[in-house]
Amino acid sequence: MRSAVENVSYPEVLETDWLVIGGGAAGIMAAVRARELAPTCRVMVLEKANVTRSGCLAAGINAINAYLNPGETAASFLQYVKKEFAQQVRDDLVLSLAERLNEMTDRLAAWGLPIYRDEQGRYRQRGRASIQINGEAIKPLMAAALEASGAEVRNHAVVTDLIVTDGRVAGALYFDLHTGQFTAVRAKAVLIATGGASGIYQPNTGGAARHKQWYSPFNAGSGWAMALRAGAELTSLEMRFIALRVAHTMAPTGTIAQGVKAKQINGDGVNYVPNYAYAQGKPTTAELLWATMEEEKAGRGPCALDTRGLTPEQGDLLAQAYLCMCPTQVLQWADAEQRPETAAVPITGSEPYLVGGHGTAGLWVDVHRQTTIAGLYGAGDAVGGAPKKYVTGSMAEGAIAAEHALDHFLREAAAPHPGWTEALEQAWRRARQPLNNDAGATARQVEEALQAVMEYHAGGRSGGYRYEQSGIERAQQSLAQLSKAGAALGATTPYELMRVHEVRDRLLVAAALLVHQSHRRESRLPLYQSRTDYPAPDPQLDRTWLNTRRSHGRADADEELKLEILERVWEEAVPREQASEEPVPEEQAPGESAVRGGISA
Amino acid sequence: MTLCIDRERCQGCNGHPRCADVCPGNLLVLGEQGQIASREPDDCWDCAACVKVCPRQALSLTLPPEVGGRGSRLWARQVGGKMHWTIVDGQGRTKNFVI
Repeated sequence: MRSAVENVSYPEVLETDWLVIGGGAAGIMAAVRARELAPTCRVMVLEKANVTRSGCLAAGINAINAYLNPGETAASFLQYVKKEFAQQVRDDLVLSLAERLNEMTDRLAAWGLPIYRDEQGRYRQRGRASIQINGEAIKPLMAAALEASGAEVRNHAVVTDLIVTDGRVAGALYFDLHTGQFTAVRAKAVLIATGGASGIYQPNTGGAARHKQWYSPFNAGSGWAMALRAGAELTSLEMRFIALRVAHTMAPTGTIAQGVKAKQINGDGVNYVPNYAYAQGKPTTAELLWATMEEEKAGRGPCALDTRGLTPEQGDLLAQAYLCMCPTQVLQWADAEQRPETAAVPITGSEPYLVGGHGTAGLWVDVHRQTTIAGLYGAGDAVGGAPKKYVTGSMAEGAIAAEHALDHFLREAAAPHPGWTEALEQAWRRARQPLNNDAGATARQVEEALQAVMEYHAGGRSGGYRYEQSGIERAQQSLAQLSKAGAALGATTPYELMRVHEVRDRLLVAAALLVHQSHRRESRLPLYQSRTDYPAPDPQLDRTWLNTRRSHGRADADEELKLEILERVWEEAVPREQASEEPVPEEQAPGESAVRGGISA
Repeated sequence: MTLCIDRERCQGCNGHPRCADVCPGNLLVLGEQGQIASREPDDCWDCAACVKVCPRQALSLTLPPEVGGRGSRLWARQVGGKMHWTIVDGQGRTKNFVI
């Protein structure tokens, strides 16, 4: 059961053109797009687990949530996203991916994804930017398309660092989870498609339910940590994402809220949503979370989605939709001897996550998804500034990155990479360092200590998600100590080595998050970024993006990485007044209609 | 622990268990008895990827007591182009879905 890492030999060196790190929606599309535009292009995908079921889509998904339904345009999508995020989005990124959302949806359909249709034969709408699918097998279908593209896929390949020479990315280093063998891959351009970060904050439930989280608990922010070590910039980490989810199972609520238009009620059975004032009349996703947590705080919880009164057929349709995305929700109903039509479904806030697909945290990129390092790209949840991109937006970013990389790097003759040997040696030394440490604390212990620090001092759920300066500073002091514990962690198997690197990556991402939280002295988004000491937005910070990067020197195994913060002011690519004023279909009022069309088996 | 491994059914797939290959957390390994074991049972995400590929229905999901679980179990298997789901609750009542 334990395969010890012994006699680690010097990394084998492989060559490719386009190196994709992470085999989720963004990475797969980036690989497929490069291969279809340039069939001679060598593409390699490195995936920590197995592309068939890795990442956020492992269990499936029951809706495509970024799609331009009839009447919508890229500009109207931008307007909607800006309203949701207090105008703080990168217009150029949102517009460029919005233009490709329907193309990506059609591509998924061509790969065999079942998408429900209405009487006119159009994709069946669920919400404003959402359509209903049967997506249990979305990941195996994507993996099949990846295989058909001819890209080389290496599963169970854990990337520990990028290799950068002369300010340009030259490749990456990984180890195989079965053999522990290290391999370096030289590439002309590299994509980070590793997703966002969970596990920074304490999960809502502990013990055997510690991974009963909405976002993949295996996304450790590793792509961000390796980008920071390589000198790239991260943006907006302080803009966390907190999901309103079904209590205990952390199942998504859109299935019910959009699917059957259920009202949100408090413990007294009152629809509390109209009792709060919202910035724009209609509540945003963050404001719905805030209203719910305010009800809990006032002792009027638990809040719930009121599904009582649905027909048994509608209850079964909901169950089927959840089986395609979060099967334990259906198990929970059976276990509690309940059905959605007989008991309202309790909801609450999740632990905070950092994720570019829903929120704005992530890599700082240009419109082509290139980072501040030449030849290094990002896509999907790993990229910041373009929230609500979800699956199709992540795919669009993968395609955009691949197209630009092809035009600027992949068709060039291989560069000589001066300094490759030294850079590889440094990366390899850092990667295998835990193998030299004696066994002491475990990765899980240090991870749980980190989560406790962030929970209590940096805006965890128990503090109502808000924080203040003294708490952030206390968290920074604790994290400095924990980083020493992280540096002392030892590993004897490849799996343990992965876990040690994951917790070290989480520690680094958390340290960067605290720098962001300390620096933004305002409250811009309800609960996602809310401070008790600066409770109002500061208009002077409108359009100001906070970025972190490595401050100086080289990241070494023995040297603590220093971070610096930058303020970047980003002008709107499309002035607000020019953004589309076209009419968009109004969403039905909550409770107005029952299951629209339902889901057919 | 949320993944149940049926010791009567699991035969380790002749040393090439598909469940271990697809787990997004790399949590499953062949144990010393030639059967599947979880490295860290608490770390299961409940995605059911392993449950769906098990050829002997040796794997199922349950709810841990931490979230009030009372012993219901969930299985899934691919038959033709459809996923067949079975839930057996604590009283032994069965519910099936074909999607």
